[in-house]
Amino acid sequence: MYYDLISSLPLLPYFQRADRLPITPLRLDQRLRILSPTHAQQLSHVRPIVSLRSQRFERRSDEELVKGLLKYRQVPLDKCLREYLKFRLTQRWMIAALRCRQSGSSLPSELVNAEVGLSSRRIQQRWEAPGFGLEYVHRWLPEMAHFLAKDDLLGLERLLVKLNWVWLTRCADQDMFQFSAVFAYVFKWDMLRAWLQHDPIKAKAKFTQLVNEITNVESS
Amino acid sequence: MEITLGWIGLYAPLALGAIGSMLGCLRGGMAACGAMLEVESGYGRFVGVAAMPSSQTIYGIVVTMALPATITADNSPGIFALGVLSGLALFFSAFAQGVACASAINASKSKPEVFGISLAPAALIEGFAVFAFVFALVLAGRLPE
Repeated sequence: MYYDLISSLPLLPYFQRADRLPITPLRLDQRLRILSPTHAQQLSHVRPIVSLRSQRFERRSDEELVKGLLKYRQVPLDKCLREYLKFRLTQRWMIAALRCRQSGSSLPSELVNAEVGLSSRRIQQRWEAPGFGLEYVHRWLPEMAHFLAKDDLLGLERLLVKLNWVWLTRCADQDMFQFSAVFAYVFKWDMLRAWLQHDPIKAKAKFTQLVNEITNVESS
Repeated sequence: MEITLGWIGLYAPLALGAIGSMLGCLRGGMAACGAMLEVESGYGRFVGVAAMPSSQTIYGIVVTMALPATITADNSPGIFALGVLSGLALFFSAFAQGVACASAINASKSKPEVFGISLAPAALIEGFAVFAFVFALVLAGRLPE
């Protein structure tokens, strides 16, 4: 039970209404020191995998990524945390499959072998179906496919954050002062930070700068 | 054996009420300490809310005092039943009230304007504890001396 930890964390505003993080990374890390060693270890294992901006697996091949994920599946985890990991990996898996189909390629063997919580054989069998025939299992799948088809990546990210936010909120509400509430807060905080880093003005300036560098507009 | 049961019943309301109060105050107290890290003022009211589950110990003391002090073979089954059941009611109400108080502290820390209404669940639980307490007193008067 983490009555003191949960009560020491400020309220997280809904990601679309937030304009700043309610707690700094340093302060959050300080508060998380109350966690038991087991829970702290579980959190540190899972956090990089479920984050929207993966850092641990940056600049690695698909094969290495899948190996990493499979390794963490063997780590003993809290039941609710394991369920969330499965939920998040399913999303990543589905996005990868949808992107492969959109680009005209087949499912990479690394993904086929990964079997991250769902049957890749079933997806291969119904490769041409809009949602691989899994729309009734994963109700968010058609919307995800729609955003990908339109190349609306911001819309896709908004959908992903929304799905995960709702899932984590429901999970935290079930046990308000247990570990599930703690990891739900941390993951939501991570999502909020990633979301707040979106800056259309900066992005536009950076894009223009890159285009100029490639086309040598500035030098000419 | 019957006499032993009587003594257990005599002390049960106080013991169970006190254990429940400890666990309830622990939960409320932990939440209060956590909230103090986050807010700049109003610490006193958090501590006050955290202390709410302590009332069950007082009810337990009163029920113990109200039960017949002379334990006989005739009244010990009644004392046992009344003492243990009222003690259990006080224990669980204190425990549940501690969780309700922790939730109230957690909610009012971020939204001070909900402080009063957030205490409603804890007050309801207190009401149930009072029911158990009052009827234990009423029934204690009917036990044979």
